[in-house]
Amino acid sequence: MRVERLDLVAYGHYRGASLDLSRPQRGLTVVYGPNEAGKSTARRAFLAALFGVSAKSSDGYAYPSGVPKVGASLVSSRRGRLDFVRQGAAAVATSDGKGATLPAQVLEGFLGGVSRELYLRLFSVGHDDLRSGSEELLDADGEIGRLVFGASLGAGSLTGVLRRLDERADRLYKDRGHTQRVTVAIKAHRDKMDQARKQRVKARDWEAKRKAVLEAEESVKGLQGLLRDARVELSRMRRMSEAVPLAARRVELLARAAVIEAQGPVVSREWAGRAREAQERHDRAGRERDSVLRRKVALDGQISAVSVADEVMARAALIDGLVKGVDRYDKDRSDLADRRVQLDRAASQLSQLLEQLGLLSDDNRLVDEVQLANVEELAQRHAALNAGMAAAEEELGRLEEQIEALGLRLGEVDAPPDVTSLSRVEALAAPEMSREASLVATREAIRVLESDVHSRAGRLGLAGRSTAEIEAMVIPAAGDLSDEQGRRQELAARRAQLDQEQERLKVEMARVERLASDILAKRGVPDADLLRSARDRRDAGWRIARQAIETGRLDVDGAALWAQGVEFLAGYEEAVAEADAAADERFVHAADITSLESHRARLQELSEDMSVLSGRRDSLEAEAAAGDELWRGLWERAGVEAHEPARMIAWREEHQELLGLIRELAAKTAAYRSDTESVAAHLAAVRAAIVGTGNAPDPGGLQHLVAQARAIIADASAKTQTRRDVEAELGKARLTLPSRRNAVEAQRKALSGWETLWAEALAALGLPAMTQPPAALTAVHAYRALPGARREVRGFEARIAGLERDLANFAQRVKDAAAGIVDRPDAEPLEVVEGLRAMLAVAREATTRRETLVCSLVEVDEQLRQCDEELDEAHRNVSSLRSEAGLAADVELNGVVGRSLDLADVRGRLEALEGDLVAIGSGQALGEVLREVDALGMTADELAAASAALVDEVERHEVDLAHANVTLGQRRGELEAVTDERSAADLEQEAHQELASAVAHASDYARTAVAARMLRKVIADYADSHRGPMLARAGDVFCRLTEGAFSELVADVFGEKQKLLAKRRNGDLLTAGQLSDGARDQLYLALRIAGIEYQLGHLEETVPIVFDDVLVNFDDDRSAAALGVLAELGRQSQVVLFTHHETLVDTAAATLPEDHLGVVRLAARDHDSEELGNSGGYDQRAGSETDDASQAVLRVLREASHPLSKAEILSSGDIDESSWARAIRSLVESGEVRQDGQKRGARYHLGS
Amino acid sequence: MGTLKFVHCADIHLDSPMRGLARYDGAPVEQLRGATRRAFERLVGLAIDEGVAFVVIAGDLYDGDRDDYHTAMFLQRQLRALQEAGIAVAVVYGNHDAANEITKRLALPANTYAFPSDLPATHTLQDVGVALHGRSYPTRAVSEDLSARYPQPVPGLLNVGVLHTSVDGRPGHDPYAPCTIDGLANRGYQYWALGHVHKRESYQRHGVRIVFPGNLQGRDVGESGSKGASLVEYDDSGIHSVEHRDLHAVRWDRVEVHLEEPATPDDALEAVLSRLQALQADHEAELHAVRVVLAAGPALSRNWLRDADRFEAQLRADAAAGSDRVWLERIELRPTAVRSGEVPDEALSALREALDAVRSGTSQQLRAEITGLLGRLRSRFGPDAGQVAQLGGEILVEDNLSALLDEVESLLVAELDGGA
Repeated sequence: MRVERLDLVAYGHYRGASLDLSRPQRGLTVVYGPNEAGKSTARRAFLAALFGVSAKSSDGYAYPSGVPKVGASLVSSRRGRLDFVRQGAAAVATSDGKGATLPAQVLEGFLGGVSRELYLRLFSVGHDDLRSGSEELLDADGEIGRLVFGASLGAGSLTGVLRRLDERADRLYKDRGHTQRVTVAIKAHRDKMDQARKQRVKARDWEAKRKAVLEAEESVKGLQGLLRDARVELSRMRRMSEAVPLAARRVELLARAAVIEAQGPVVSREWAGRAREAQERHDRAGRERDSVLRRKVALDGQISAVSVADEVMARAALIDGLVKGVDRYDKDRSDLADRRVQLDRAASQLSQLLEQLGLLSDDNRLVDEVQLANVEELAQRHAALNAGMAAAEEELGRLEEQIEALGLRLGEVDAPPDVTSLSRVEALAAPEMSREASLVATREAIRVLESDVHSRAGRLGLAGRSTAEIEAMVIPAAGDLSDEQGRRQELAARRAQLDQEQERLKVEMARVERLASDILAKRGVPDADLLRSARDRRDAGWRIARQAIETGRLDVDGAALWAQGVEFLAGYEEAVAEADAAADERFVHAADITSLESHRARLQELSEDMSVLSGRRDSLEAEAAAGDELWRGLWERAGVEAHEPARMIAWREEHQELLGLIRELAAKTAAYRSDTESVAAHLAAVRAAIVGTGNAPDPGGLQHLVAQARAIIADASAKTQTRRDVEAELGKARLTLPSRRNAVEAQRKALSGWETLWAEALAALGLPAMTQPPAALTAVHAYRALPGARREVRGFEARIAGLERDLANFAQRVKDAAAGIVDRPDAEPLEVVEGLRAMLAVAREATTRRETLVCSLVEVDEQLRQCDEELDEAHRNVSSLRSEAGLAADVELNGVVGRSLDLADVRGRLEALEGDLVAIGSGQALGEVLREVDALGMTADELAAASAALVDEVERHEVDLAHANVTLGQRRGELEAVTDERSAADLEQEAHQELASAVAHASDYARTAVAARMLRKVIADYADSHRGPMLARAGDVFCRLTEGAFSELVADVFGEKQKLLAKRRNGDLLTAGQLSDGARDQLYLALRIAGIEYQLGHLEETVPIVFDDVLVNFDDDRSAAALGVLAELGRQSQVVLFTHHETLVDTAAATLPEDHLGVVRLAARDHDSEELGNSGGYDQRAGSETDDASQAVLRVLREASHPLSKAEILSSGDIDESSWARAIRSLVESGEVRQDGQKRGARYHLGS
Repeated sequence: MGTLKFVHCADIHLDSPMRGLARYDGAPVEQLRGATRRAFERLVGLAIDEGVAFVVIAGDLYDGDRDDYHTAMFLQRQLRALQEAGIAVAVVYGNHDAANEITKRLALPANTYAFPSDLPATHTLQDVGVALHGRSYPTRAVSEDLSARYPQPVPGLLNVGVLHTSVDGRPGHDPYAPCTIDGLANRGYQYWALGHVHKRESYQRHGVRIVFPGNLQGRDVGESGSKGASLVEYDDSGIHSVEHRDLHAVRWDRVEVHLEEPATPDDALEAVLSRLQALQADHEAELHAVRVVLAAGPALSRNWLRDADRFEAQLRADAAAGSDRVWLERIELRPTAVRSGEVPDEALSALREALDAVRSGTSQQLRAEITGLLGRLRSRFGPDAGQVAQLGGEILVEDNLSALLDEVESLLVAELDGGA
């Protein structure tokens, strides 16, 4: 696939620009743009066209939606041409003119399934990639595996990846490590579990502690019992100590009571009390009566000393009324003055009104309200009539002006030309436009087809033949070919079978021969006779010996013979043993010999079989040769060299496809011709029609002419419409004119009628005839105010007279009241009233004092009476008591009373004492207590001693109990300590968290370590299988890039690693580290090119390869060499080199053949005309440049409401960090942006 | 007798730890402690608040041989609280209790009745009209059908069978005291209070209610969702209603977030946090222990895996900032990556082929090397090695080698296929 054209519809600062990348078809396209020209933008647009535009891209600022729009024209030998534009991810096809959305798989097909990531990694090489790749050469220490795999994989540092994985794995786990996360977490888990186990309270431990607590509690309970008993006894002793003295005192009191009773009569305590009380009451009443009598005498004296002014008191009501009237009198005097001032003012106003109307004060001219209203209405109507008159005159003037203006406008509109014939022709030609548009594509398709036909014919060996000849060729039928293929396959199968059979025979013969030769190689067979004779001799020897022994004839001879025999026998034994062994071997041999014979027979059979097979092979070969002859004959007729059938079947299929292409070509060519003629005919017709309307036809195709015709028709139609509109408006205005004039006249008549009425109305009011409406309205107001003014004057006069009357009445009342009691009753009334008020107050105070004293006297009289009654009552009471007790009159009352009370006192004390004894007994009856005291029989001292002993015992028990309580507390504390300690469950929970952490780390480790291991394995395997071809190709490229300074790349083993070495022309071998920076760049580029070529070979569809300023560090000669290499790569796929070095363009032009180079120049940016949408400096078509990053920064800051940090600006504007420093520096220097703060604290906002 | 209530719970596993929660900064450590105890306290609270007549515990009060008397004392306190509220308690001991020392030694308060382990018995609560029938486990493993010898129902009372059983088998549970639902239904009882199966199940056969209330508190992500007990209403006529009540302190959940391409790690963080908020709004718990599963397309997976530590730390920190009630158990990335052969990339294809060779066993030596590594790693866990897979280390087990290799592939593709 190739990108023939890149359309920057709205991308960055570009608007409607296009880059023509169609040249060369095979070679290198250089896109040159000086700094700031928009090279980076164009490169981004290139990617955006192929893979979609990110919605977050900042390149869309020139477009209303903010999303950039870009398009392209792609050409694929398999898929044809595709024109499209895209905004965002979706692409719209433009080549068919329908603007349908492209299904994603269409573009993916053109890209051969290559994703954006894959493309960037493999097929896009930038300057930064070159730098990092060059560094990777050092990092990888020239290790071939990484370099070969890395070159195939594209960008990215394998060494870096491996290092990251290794470091991570090392942090997580090592077999014998102690500080790695997995180990640390496992240890923490175990520690916590140990703690938890220790923390657990075993049931028996808990029970032991609980038992100790229970024992301590029992001990406490026992001690508490002892203490309680001791305290009870102590308490009893203490009670007895109290009871013993009380019992003694009781005896004494009983004796005293007996003595009193013996002294004389005794009465009850209650009677004695009452008698004493009655006597005391009698004495008290006497004393009270004397006191009251003294108070009565004193009151009489005080009453006679008080004197009262009765005259004044008699007039008290009159004086109070005068005092109340003082305020009213004072107010009336003040009101009188005010009313007199108001009267003066009202009289003055009345005089003014009379004067205004020219009347005398007593002139009562009659003017009614009807007349006044009539004047008012006429005055109002006058104003309305005047306004109506002015409006009617203005309307008339405006209408006349309008008529004049429309007349002028009608004169200015031209008469339109006749476009009838033009419309007809335009309608006929419009459908032809799409045909005309498709002519270019059809032409291109024909060209592609021709090229395809040509190349296919070449591939089929029919290069020199015309399409007619190719179509006329007699090609064997497909059935013949498959028959031939079948025949050959059958022959091959038979041949293979024969081969197999022969091979099998050969193997069998070889095996049999080997067996035979093995047998033959063994030792020879021993002599059977020799063996037999040896056995006989041995047996004879034994026989002789046996006989000699049996017969007893073993004598000297015999012995000698024996000895001989022994010797003889020994020799024979040896021979026999040897022979026996030989016989065993012989037996084996016999079998071998049998086998050998059968092997030889088998060999014979095999060799016969082999000759049969040879015969069959000969006949097979003859048959094959005859078949081949026929085959060749078959193809000779077609004039084509015959190859084996499979290839010829493929040839035939391809030939059929070629015929299809030829037919398609012919059809397309015919259609193209027909379309061309049709378009030309319509072109001429439209041209003539345009001339007919008086216009000169524009140069250009049908599309232009139809557009021009449409413009002419639209213009004529517009003119006609304008004239019609103006004429209609003029007619309407003229029709309105008479009614406007009539309106003016009617207003005039109405004004004249009003004047007559006005004169009459003025006369009715007695006003002069020339009075204008405003003056007449003033007079009307005066007439209406006159009666009110007169009423006001009269009102004030009446109120003044009333006030004067009230004041005189008050003065008279004062004078009457003061007569006879005041020295000067005629003085000023207020003064007199004040004197009267003071006199009345003194008289009232004296009266009150006398009344109080009289009341007190009445009360004292009542008290005196009560005292007399009380005294009588007391006397009667004492007498009654005596008679009640039966006391004779001579018995001294006080003696009886005293004796009785003493006895009562003794009995009371006795009762209290017995109560105390009962209380001491705490629940016992008195008798029981007295008996206990008697029974105890202890003295007070003895009791004290016993109590002291008990106190000691109690104290001892208390100390013991305290100790027992302490022990109990300790035991309980121990139990609580066990239960209150930190829960084992919590510790176990923590242990589980540690374990979970350890598992998580271990999983991470497994993932990471296995990833590192797998990557190393893949690198090694990949290097093993790809090293040869990749190194050879990279070496070749490297040799060219270095102009032969290096001859090849070789691999050598260093330790366990295979390393890449560059071989100098003189044979020196250099590692990557020993190369200069430039040579290392070239080495990396060579590896990448080899990798790209390798990957291209596996793609279904080739993709363009983009290099961006990769040659900046190459000197001129090596640049020229590199350009040659890139152009060569361009034979396999489209290659585009972006650069901002003009010398590279010159170098390319000087070194590459013209048809191998295409140059696209982006002109420098014109900063003064950077308004969006301006066409600008792109020298071939269009385009202007701006600093993308700066624009994006400004845009973000314009939209922000407060100063922003660097990070905020970068993320909001989707700005690449690499362009930040330059952009912000220039913006701050120019004052467009202001910076507050430094470094991380820096914030930016727009400058003033 | 009017309407009365009782609470049926089982599988308390007091003081059993929550499993699989790795520590991290900001994790709400305190809320995790004593979760099973707090759940039991809630149970006691529920019983008292609802004024129930009695509480039935259908086995596994304790957690195996974890015989810590702290546990016993806690239990006693709780049982006494029920006693003070006048609530009776009946317990059968389950397989975990049978192995526990506390079971033998703990003196239960007067309100608590433990069924004997030698024979089935009937415990009558006459004043609330109930006869409880049950039998405790004599040993850890009981293979006979205990219910077969349960006593005949007592006429005129509500008959409740209390049994610790796996019925006719449940995955993940030992097959103890086997029986059948129909067999239980035909015993003549009105209610079967079962325990042992940790997931809530309820059956109704011929008017008989047979209920597993599930465990009181989930202990790992396998026991997710609401956990608690059943509140049962009954009267003279039988069972009225059975209602589940949530009592868990810690709620386990699995949150799966699918992210369509194109999405950034920030999108993923936002989506997960939003789901976590929704989870907390929808379900009450002192602490949510959550496993997050991120199903992500190739680009997001690549970005995430390249810096997984940072993103995971970020997510945990954001979750902690948003709420002190969330503990992210694990963040699992599930890439929906493009498989080998679909991308025309020779080098990556080679990588995938190598991984496939290990998967299929073709690459025997490497496979042995990796399984050796996993074996060594597991052996470091000593006696805990057997738990590794359950605690989130599934990929450390040889049976899951393929899963490990999938993760390795994702990681390597993320590292290598980043583009320029």
